[in-house]
Amino acid sequence: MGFISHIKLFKEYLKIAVATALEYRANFVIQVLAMAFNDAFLLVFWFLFFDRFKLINGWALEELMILYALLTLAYGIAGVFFGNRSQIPKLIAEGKLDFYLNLPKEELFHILISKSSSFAVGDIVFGLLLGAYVLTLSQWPLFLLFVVISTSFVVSFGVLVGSLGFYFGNAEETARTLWMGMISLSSNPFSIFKGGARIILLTLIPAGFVTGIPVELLKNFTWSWFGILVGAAVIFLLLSIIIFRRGLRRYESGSMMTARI
Amino acid sequence: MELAKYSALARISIGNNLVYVKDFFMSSLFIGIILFIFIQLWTVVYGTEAEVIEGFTLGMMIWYLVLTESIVTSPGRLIEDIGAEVQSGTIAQHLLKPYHYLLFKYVTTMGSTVLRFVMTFIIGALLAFFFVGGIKVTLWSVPIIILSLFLALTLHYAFMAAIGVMAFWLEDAESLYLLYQKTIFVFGGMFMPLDIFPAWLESVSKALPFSYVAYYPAHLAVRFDVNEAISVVGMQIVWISVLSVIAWALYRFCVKRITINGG
Amino acid sequence: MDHVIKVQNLSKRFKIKQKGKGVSGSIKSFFAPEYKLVTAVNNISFSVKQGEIVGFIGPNGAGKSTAIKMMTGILYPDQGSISVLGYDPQQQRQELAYHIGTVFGQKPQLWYHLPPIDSFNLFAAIYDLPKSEYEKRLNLLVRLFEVEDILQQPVRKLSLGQRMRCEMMASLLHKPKIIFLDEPTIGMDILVRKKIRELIKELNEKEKTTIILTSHDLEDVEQVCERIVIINNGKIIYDGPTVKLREQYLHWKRIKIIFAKKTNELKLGLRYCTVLNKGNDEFEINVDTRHERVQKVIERIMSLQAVEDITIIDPPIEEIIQELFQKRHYGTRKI
Repeated sequence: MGFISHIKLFKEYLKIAVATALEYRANFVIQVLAMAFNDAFLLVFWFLFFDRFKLINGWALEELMILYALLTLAYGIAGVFFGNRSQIPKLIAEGKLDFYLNLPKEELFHILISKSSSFAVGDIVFGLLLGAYVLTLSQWPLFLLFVVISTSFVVSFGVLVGSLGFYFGNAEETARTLWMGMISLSSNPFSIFKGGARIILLTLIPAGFVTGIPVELLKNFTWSWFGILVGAAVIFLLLSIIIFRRGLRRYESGSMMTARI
Repeated sequence: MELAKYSALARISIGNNLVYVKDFFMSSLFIGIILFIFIQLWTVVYGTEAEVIEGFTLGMMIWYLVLTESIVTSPGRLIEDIGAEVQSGTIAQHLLKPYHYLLFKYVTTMGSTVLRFVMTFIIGALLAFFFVGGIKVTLWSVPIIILSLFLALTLHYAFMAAIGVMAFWLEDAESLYLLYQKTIFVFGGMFMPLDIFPAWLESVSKALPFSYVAYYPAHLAVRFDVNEAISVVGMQIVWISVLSVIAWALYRFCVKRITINGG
Repeated sequence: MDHVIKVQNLSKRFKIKQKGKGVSGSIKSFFAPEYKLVTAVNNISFSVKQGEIVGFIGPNGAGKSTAIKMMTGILYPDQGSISVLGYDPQQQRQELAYHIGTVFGQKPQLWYHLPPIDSFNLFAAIYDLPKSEYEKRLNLLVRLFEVEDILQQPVRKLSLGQRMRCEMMASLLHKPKIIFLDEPTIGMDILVRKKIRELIKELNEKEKTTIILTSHDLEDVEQVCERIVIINNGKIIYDGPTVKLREQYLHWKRIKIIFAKKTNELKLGLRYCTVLNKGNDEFEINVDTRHERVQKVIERIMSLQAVEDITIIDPPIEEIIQELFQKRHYGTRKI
């Protein structure tokens, strides 16, 4: 019930994740490497791009490398430690939230931590290597703080799109599309977006907060944008918890599954 | 007779696909987001650089990207699909049926792939038209462009089939999918025309078969040239043959292993 | 606290999306979905005393599982109130969860790729069990459920029966006061079912655990439960002792006779007997015990023919339900 018992639970799930990875060692290694290469390929594109064009509205290769380090670490941590996020719509549709709802732990936290993605380990490896290459020592503390904030945005967004399952029946495809859209939007230089697009990326799909704003803050720190970033992170987190909890009232536990077919 | 059998299979695949209205809306949304990003990015680039970059105007660039995007995303997650069948051994069920598995897969996926290609292209074309206007295409080149696009989808399939069957040994289809996808993104020219690469990498990428999936057919569509068209279609056929043989050989080998092990 | 569960005027409805046919139907239901309301639980009330074993039975989709899920806090009721061990299951879900255990036959809770012991350790963390207490409890359960040999094997390699025993263990580690078992024997063979029934009874006797069991299999419930609640179309149509159910609806005995030699016809000349099925030399006779004594019927039969074998049994409980559902009675045709 308390905070400490939830931390203990977190530790137990990590143990299970390690045990599972060891049980399927070869697959684990392949997936970690595949994801790290996947990230590297995407960065190669930007190397080639900036080799030809140098600057996009003030963003250069360096900003983009910081963006990728932040992006891969945020998604990596979200995937390793809160990896069950992607399953939420499926768990809702198939009535598999029952498991969590029968146990004496906060359900959303419990759902999120109960699965870990091996692919995401590859993201973390890549992000750390890239960060070590591109960041100066003095940038690291702020960078790590931004990693935490970005991870919070990523997980909150995942919960929000996943919660669509409570309201629209089978929302797996919708949630995945919005999630992929979020990744695409947050993996491009924020400087290319103007006007309405910028507003959307700082509200509806908070991709700008995941990478754009933190990268710009690392280059040029202002307290006002930092305040907005932290405030938005808190708002999104609370919003995701509220929407999820309200959604639980509509949960059907797969009761009507047979009737649907 | 043979042809009739396979065309019937293709029709069923299209029929199945139409049911997934939601799937269609979602993939449209995704394509919309991706193309929106591309349009923003290249508008900025053209705004600061020049009117024409390596022979591409902004309009040509966006239409090029609409086409590469439509080609590459149309088949869905075929590698994982085949990979799952190979690993679980359900592929063995097809051995008893009166068709070849890879051909069966080809016609069933091509049905839905072509449909999805058309839909993606329509959405992309609407967006492109809205943001950068149309581009000039000579009427008589259209059939050749369509042929090249169709061959590109076929080559894309042959790649995915070969890699999908490889999942039998590597056990992890999703990893293979990720790597192939990113290779096409960058070295196939899906993200940007290979002409923008440094000279040495441009010539290497153009020589690799990946460029015949995305770069060449899209390039033909926005900058048509008869001589290039002939060589592109020729090379597409060559690479389709090479990859089909590879896919077929891998499949034979894998089937032998499955039947020996008793599935 | 005498009553551990109190349920009053409980109702729950589900919305079901109606889908049109073909592409146009799909498009229409995407933009403007139409819903149909289905009442799964319709104004039910009951209470359960501590230490009771109550069986909920009814056909598939009758609302048994929905009722149970509202009692454990999974589903929110539309109307009515529930109190379980003094908790409100929806508002105090976590607090309640420490004191109840659940076994859902169709929703496994053990990690498929890992040995059961790993899952048990995890559940010990989930229930905040102190190490010494957990180990003592685990040892006791391992002996009771006879799972010493399979504790270290991945769950995927266990048989269905072994798996279910481990599933039940996982729900008992924290010594729950109430156990909810939803279709625990689904898909299992007779021997495994028998074993599981025994375990449930043993648990109830040794630890005074209150047990709520649902099943669509009547034998389970008949064997285990002293009280039966029959649900049909979301309504309780019977709630009372298993014995009483028998007395009220089971004023029938069934006599099976095998004759020594081939017999085509049986004329008893008794009003309250019905011949149910006629084989070559085998007969089944239903006797309405309100009007006819079984002994008299048997005497009559014996006087007519040479009998090789004779058995007297209760009709299976399925027929009672059918009778309840359809209000159908056996005829009183004279044979």
